[in-house]
Amino acid sequence: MIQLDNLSFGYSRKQLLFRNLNLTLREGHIYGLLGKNGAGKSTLLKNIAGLVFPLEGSCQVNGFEASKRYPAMLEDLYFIPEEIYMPAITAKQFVANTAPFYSAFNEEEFYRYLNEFDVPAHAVLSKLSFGQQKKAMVAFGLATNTSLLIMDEPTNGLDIPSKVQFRRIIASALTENRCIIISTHQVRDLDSLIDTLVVLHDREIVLNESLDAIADRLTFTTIANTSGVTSEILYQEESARGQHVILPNVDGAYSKVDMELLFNAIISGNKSITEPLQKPVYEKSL
Amino acid sequence: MKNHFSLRRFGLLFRKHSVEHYKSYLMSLIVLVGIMALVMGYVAYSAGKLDTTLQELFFMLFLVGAGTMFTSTVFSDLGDQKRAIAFLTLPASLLEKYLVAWIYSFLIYVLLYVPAFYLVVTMIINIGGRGTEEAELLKLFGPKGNFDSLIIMYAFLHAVSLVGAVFFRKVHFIKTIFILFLGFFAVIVLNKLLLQTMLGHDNLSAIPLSGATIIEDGQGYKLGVPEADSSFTWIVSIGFILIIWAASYFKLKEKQV
Repeated sequence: MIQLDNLSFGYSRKQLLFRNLNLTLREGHIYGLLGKNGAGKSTLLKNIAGLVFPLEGSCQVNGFEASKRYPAMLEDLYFIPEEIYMPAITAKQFVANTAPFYSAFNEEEFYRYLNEFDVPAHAVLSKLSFGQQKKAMVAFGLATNTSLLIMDEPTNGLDIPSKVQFRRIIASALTENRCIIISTHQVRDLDSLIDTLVVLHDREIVLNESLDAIADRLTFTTIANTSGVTSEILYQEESARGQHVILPNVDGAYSKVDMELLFNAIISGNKSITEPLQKPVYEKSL
Repeated sequence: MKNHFSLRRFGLLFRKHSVEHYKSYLMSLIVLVGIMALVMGYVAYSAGKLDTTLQELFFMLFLVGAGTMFTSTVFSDLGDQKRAIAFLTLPASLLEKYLVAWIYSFLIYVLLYVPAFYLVVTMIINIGGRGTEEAELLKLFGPKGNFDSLIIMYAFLHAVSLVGAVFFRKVHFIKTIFILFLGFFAVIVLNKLLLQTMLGHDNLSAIPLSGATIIEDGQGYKLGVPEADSSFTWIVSIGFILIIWAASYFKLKEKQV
């Protein structure tokens, strides 16, 4: 689906944003791309969508070099940027003019998504509020049925009920032939939605693991105090309810991955978090 | 091949562009007709006539002025990140996107401009004085017509404007005209220096592709391709325009957001 090989990118050769990135993303997953502000999440997505070109290495989407922007690649990819452009036409006119470029577009699905998002179908798109425009664009992107759907900060501008709708609709739209990438700096927006976490930090992909694999190796829990903990604490954060901690998962018990805690642990530069995740499972069991 | 050009996709793109822009294009055409009517009407009223020389001058000025201004805007989407993303990720090849812009800013523009110009001129002449000598309409085609030269000149400026439209992010028209003047000045100076070296004369005028005029003992001599061989100048001009059009296409292919 998406294959990045030794990709280096920067807006100037002297200041690289990424150096030798390697990344493989496959169908059937919803990836959450996390990173601090300025880490390059949007730029990475733009590389994948062919909007910027790598200085070195390659970025392939469905076997096509993204920078070539071949229609065969573009008709199976839908990119929703953080700031969207909406023409001064109605949703119906937008469908009539733009949907024919996407061979798998389903008009019925589009209106159903619009309805679920509470977006009026007959309103002029450019006159909708920012949140409504974003929802209309997400509805269109989902209805294109492209195998790759990329969303850059899709929850920005959405109110709380809309964020809930968003998570529900996106989860329902995932099929085994589809890959959805969602970038955000609001980790909680992806809760119960993504199945794989990709973290971009310090010009590198420091994590690309499924939540199941993370839960296999790490335990996320809250404890009153750390004095009685026998295993090594990999990371901890104080809160009103006690200490949120990340521990090695030594007994194989399941715990829900606290993405925000994990993300904070990774960007704090704590290598002991990412090291256990990079070890194959069989090593841990020895 | 389908990744470079598909007639179906091109048709879809042309329709999408037309639907999304026809209102602004129609308004622009109406404004152009209004400005032409005002300017030429005023001149005709002041001078008491609008002869074919004046008509040809206005034809050229409005063709080039409005045309280059319009061409500078055909890729204005690329200057705005939000629009540029929508433009570049739309599943059509860059050749198709380029051709739609080219057809609108060159073919359709000229096809609409010529009747609009004649409509205005005919109205002014009819109001001014039917049946007089001044009522003659400009003949673009035929033995006295100058349409081929005018269209070549417009094609050259259109090609330059198209490069500027892709290259610059903002105020495309002003930046393009500025660069064009600088470039034109530089080419004239360089051409003159080159011809001075070749011919050993100091006093000459040397506009590219127009021959050279030498002044010797107070007498002017024009050196150039014989009239019968003017096809050479045409071929070079057309070749040059094609190169600039191609340059704008390749610049579009390199465009990043």
